[in-house]
Amino acid sequence: MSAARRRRPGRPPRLAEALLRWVLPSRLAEQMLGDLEEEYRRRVPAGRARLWYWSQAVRSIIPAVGMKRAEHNNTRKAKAMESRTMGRTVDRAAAVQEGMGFALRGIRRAPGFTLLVVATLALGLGANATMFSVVDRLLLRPPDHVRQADRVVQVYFSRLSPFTKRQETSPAASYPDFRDLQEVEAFESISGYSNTSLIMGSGTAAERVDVQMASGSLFDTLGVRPGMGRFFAASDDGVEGQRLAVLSHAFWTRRFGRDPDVLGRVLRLGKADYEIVGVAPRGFTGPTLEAVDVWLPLLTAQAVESGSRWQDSRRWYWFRLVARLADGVSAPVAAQAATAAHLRGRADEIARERYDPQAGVVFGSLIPGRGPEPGQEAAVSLWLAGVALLVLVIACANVANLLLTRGIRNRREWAVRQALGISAGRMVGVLLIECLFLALLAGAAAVAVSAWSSSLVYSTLLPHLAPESPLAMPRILLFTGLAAMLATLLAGLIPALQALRIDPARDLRESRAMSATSGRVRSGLLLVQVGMSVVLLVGAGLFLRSLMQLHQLDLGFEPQGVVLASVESEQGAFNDQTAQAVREGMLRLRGAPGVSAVAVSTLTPFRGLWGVSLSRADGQEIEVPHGPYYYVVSADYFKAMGMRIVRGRGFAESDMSASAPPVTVLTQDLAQRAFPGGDALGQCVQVDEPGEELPCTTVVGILADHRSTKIEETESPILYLPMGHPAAANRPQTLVVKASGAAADLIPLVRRTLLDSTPEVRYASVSQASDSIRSQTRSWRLGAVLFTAFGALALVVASLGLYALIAFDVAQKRRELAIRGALGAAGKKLMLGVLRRAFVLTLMGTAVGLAAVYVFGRFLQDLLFRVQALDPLVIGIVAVTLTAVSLAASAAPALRAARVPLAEVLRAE
Amino acid sequence: MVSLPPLTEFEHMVLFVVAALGDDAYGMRVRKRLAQRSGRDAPIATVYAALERLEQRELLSSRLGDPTPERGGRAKRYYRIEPPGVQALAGYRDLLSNFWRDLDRVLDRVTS
Repeated sequence: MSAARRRRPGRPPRLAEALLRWVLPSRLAEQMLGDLEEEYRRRVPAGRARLWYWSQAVRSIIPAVGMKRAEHNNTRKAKAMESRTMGRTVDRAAAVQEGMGFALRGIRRAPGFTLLVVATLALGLGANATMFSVVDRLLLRPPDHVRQADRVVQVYFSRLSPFTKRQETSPAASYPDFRDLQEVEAFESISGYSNTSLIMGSGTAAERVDVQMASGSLFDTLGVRPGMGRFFAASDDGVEGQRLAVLSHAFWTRRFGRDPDVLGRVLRLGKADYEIVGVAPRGFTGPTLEAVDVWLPLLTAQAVESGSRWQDSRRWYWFRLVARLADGVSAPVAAQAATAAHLRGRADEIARERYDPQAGVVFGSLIPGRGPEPGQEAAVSLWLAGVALLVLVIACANVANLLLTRGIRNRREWAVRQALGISAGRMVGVLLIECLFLALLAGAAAVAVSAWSSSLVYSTLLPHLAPESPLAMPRILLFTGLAAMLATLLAGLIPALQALRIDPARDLRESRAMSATSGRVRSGLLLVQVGMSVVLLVGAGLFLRSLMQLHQLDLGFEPQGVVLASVESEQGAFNDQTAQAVREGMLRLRGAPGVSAVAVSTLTPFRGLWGVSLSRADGQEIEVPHGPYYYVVSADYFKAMGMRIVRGRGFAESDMSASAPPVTVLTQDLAQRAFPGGDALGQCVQVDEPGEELPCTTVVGILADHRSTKIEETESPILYLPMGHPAAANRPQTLVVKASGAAADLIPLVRRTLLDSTPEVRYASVSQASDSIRSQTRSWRLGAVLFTAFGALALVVASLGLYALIAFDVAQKRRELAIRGALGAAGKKLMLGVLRRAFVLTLMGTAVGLAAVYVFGRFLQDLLFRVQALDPLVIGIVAVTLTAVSLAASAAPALRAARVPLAEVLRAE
Repeated sequence: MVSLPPLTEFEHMVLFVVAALGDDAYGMRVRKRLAQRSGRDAPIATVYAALERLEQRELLSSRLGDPTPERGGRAKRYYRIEPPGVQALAGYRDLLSNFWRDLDRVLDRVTS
């Protein structure tokens, strides 16, 4: 409705109108806007008319400001005549005008200076605007479109985990848990949701679509209204419910080009067809921030995909809950009621000691970073926000120094003004207004910087989240505006205070005199810059070292050149059809050009594990704190993955048949744990699914340890079983192909082979093994990239600051240097004097920075990999780099100091 | 010799147009006529700035018309030339024709 009104032709562009309304004098604004609108409506075509309107608006700015000023002058004169009490306001208005004039003159006189100030601030502010948008999203703002978000809670269960036997706070709920909580009257409504992905279409055109299965009541619980059509309702959602779908605005745009006739069309998703009944409003992603393409009714879709056994299973945890509190009910009261309902529902299990009697329901905020499981992203983004703040402090210190230096240059001008009777307050006011003007420019530039860097940060830091919605823009603009204001005021304060100390009698006579205080202040500001640069560079060094350590790490297998693939059929993933297809794929790819080895496995490292129980021949279970785990593989698996057999042998084709004698291969770690002090090779072990008795399995090989879940882990309690082993309950579902060349070249062949392997295959997911390693190292790469970028930025800013300071010092001391040179001081000595000052400043700044690293470094320790926060190598390199850069920065002024021609200086006096 | 109010070229043209448009002289109409006669496509604010200056010097006066829907419900401001404005135009015409008479004579001599 409102969208239609916006598009109606004949309405002048709103932004241009707003611009005009802002600049035009109030007396004539309405009539001028009327004139423009009248003419605008007569013009055709619409595009031309808009262009014309805009050109009128833009070209009207300058004359309009002139008119406003004339109007203002007139009223000022009139008011001044009217009464003297108004003097103060008039004075302020005049100061504003004078400040603007001063700023504009300053820009004209020194455009390079202005550019430097604005660019420095823009980089600092842009970094902060970017990080603010991330922090705002993760820690400050509830998901978009949720009405009264403070009344909506995420439901968590605090309990002893039925699986790991550890205390946990988990959002995972079973369907009977949900039914229990629906009875709680303290909730206005409660809804379930589950984020998953389903295959849309089939074959090469198939696409994986992000689905949020949601209770019909979810949209009511969140208080969101559809953008188009309708949402499905609670009455639509059931095991035999209607198959309805709601599209996200982003998906509607991407797949359907915002086609308004999309309602009523049918989507093939997973195993069933769903009818599209509505489109969600723009930016809505449900109760989480993860990208959603399609909403499907929770119970209906789950029944389609997985049958309906979950209806009565309390051990099938498959979705999350979100609830809106009833009016007037506080969160603790509601949590108490919910806990009671939860324990009532689980009473049977508690009686049989199958469930934690202390379990309880706790609430978390809808704001993701504030829940009981805030996640790595929130922590990393807070760190980066802190780092961005450091960059801004450096930028402020640098700008303060620049303004101060210029203030000293303009000292005579100010002395004249003061002699002519300008008040101190007025003087400070004029300077601060100039600062605000610079803030405006810097803020605008910062928004441009952050528009670019935000997309970068989002794609690296938060790739699984939906893109930032336009609703966030005003908040980011407000933040940037305030930060720009604050930063420039901070930077402008010291120079303004310095200006107050001007003594016309002295400063008009002595053109060179530079107060010692101002020199100290400027050196102090430089120390801050150098110190902060040290902190950032050390941070960069630590993350880079972490990355290097990671790259040198022996994973126990060779991911380079390995392609991993799995398939989905009509029945989904992980079933007999997919296992059959993967096996068929292996047979077809054997001996194909470019393939050096091909194998299948249940899973592969970093992609999940299955647990198993293992006993020695004497029947004693082998206890492993986390594990043991097992993989079922084909004969060539170790070869394809580049895993090393340390002793004994790997698997042969003959081990694969069900009739072969059962054999296994253990990792060194597991062999050690199973037979401490002894030799595992040739021993007999019992591999069991819980509760089964199986024959003796012989250990035929010992495999070098390899990483399987996390890159940081040290334990590797894994056993390998050949396909056909009686305990191999899971069938291999992953195809592993080792390329003789680059892995990327093999991907199309693997995909085609799998899609053709059996008629049931709908979708093949093919990727490089190195990708799963890459996602493991994401947080370090992110730290390394951003710290290096910010650190390099800081180094550039600080070295510019140092250059400016030293160059200015040399310029100030020209007379002294020239006379000393004429009196016989060697140029080399004069030069060394200048360099010594730069060196001492750098050294002191480095000391300040290292002190900060010493204090704050330990907080960084958790984020590093096998590097100490006070790594001497990193600190050494940073110190040397800074010294080298500072000497380079002061080299030019030092050379200048060595040859100041006396005659010229004296002539200039 | 009467003293003439100082006018910029643009103000001069605006004064002409307002005088010529009679009862129908409002901002956009003035702007269009100016464009037709002088080829100068001025932004609307420039036109109003000139009208405003002329009104302050009492060469013009203005009144508000009724609001109309095609203007988004906004009123027009109609301008009318006042006696001092007429005098100024007439004065400038006399002044310039004196000069032209001189120049014509020179040109006549040159061409003949």
